[in-house]
Amino acid sequence: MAGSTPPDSIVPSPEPAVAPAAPETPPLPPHASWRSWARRDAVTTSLLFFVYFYAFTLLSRDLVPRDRLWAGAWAVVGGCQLFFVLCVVLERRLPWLWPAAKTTAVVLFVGWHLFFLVLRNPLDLWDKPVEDWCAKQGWWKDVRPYYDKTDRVTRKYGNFFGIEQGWKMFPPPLARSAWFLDSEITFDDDGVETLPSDNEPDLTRYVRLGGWRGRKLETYLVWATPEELRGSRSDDLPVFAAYVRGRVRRWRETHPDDPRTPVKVKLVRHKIDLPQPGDDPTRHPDQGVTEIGTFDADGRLR
Amino acid sequence: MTPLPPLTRPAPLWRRWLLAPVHFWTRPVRAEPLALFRIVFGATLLLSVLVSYAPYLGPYLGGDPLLPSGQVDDWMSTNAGRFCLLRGPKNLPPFDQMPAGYADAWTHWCEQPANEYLLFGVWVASLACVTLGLWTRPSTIIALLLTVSFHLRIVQTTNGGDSVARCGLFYLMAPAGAVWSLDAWMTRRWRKWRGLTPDPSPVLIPAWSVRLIQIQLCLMYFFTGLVKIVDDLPTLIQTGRPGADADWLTGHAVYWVLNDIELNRVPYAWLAPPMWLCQALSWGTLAFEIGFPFLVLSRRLRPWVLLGGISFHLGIWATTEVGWFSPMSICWYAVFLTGGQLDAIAAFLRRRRQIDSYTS
Repeated sequence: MAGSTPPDSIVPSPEPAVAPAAPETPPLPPHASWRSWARRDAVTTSLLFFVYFYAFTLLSRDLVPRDRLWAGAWAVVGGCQLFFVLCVVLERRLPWLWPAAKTTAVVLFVGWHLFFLVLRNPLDLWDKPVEDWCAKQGWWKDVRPYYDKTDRVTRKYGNFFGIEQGWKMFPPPLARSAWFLDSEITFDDDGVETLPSDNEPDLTRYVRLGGWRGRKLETYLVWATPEELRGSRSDDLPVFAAYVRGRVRRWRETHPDDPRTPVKVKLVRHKIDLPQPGDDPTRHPDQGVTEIGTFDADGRLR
Repeated sequence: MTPLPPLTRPAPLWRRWLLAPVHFWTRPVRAEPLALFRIVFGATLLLSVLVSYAPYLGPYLGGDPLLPSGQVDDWMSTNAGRFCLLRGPKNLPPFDQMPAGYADAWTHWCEQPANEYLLFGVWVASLACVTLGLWTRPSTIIALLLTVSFHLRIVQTTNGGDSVARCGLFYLMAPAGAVWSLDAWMTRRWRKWRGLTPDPSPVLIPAWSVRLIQIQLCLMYFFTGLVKIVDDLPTLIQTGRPGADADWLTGHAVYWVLNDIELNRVPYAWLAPPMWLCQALSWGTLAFEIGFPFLVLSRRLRPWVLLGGISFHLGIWATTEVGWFSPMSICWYAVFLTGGQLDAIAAFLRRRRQIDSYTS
């Protein structure tokens, strides 16, 4: 072919018209890769190490407090040390070990997390039936210690990271009645006024937007009985007291010109039945109220 | 003429089936779906905090709060592993071993409403950083710690939507800021400043991070569906008919939910769907929730399953006031999209914009 140079030519090529193009990626200085990686992810990785070692310390239930303090401190120091060792030694000197270490860590984490998901969901939903069934089995006595430990560790892991399982929504039986937390306020002139729940709608017409946190709080309070308030639910009395004070404040806000002073607040559970299938959907039989507890206006249980 | 490469025989079916689980966990995936999850989820969570938490800061956390701070301590003592940064270092080793004076000072500092508002501001800022992809991983860790703390502070008023929010943040510790983030933008700028050419190939991330999110959502649906029927199944099997309280099996569940004046959005009489529709929706809900993990495996069915899920959640959102559960759940669907599908959607939107610009 005219004008072309055979590939195996030994004739020196003419001087190039332009200087050869610079390589697309300039050569990195030695150790640039791990340095840039370290610079970019130093904070992140240190934080992650901190969190993971932290979780490890958290799960070590058998340690006495002083040992836990030391273990926690050493875990943080060790985490930082390990971070630099992994960066410098593993990546530079033993390049094959770095990916292997990462892979091992990932496999361990993924395996643990899958175990957590698969175990925690049924246990959180059906722990009582599962334990009752297990208790009838002959092998349960030997397995029980391991089960308890696994239960405790997985529960702690879920609680700590806020990833509790046990998913359910509208489980049966669904409500046949609605319950509202009303407040009957007695004044210094012996007059009584009822302050209905914020969640209680005008049944003929309403559009509910927001307010679900208030509903959840009322649901938490509405099922107590006067006996429980003096017994098993006495720990919740501060919440009841705060709620009562909140209702008194609400009364004063909505009736600024009323000169009377609230002296007593009776919390009551107001029951309204829902219409059965086939009934008139606008008919909601009112089933009256049941006392939950009577408080002073400042929230003290009477 | 360049000879054609020899035809390669496709791997036998058994081998592909055998390797499928390995590829499922190990083959890198495009970073865009996880980034989309980060953006929509972060934005939804931020909005939910501003709309359904900020207004309650005063009544619930301020002076003489509706939820006294001391009750959180009782809650933490009976629930192993829980911590609340607003209540000091309790259950937070090794800080819980710090001298009592320091721990009390921490607790006292957090009891001041002004300081609680300050921490709330940090929480909002961290969520904004997560959404924008600014210092993504540290922001996510801070957001998770504060979300757990602020939710525990008002634990009596939290619901399933809050649980979905915490779970989502936990999984966002995956490399969610690899693309579509300020981090990625700053990295590109830095490369340009250093004279390095941008890498045109798609950004890939390890598959396991996305897989865990997908599995979490599948388990969420599966157990939510299972718990609706599992107690009533023995009666159904023994007698051949569901019990009176087996609302989901009888198909009356949607009727009762729509009738529940504690949480429905509008009176039932305004909608008054016929009973056959309530039954169809009840059984459809069961089929969707229990079938989701299996149906979503099929590439052909996946878009329809996801569309069905979006309608399902929009239906819940439109008829009941259960907070942010539905919007949060829909955000998780982003991780079931592929990078190719997102490219196709982006190309479609670009074409639409070009057509609009020509026509205008």
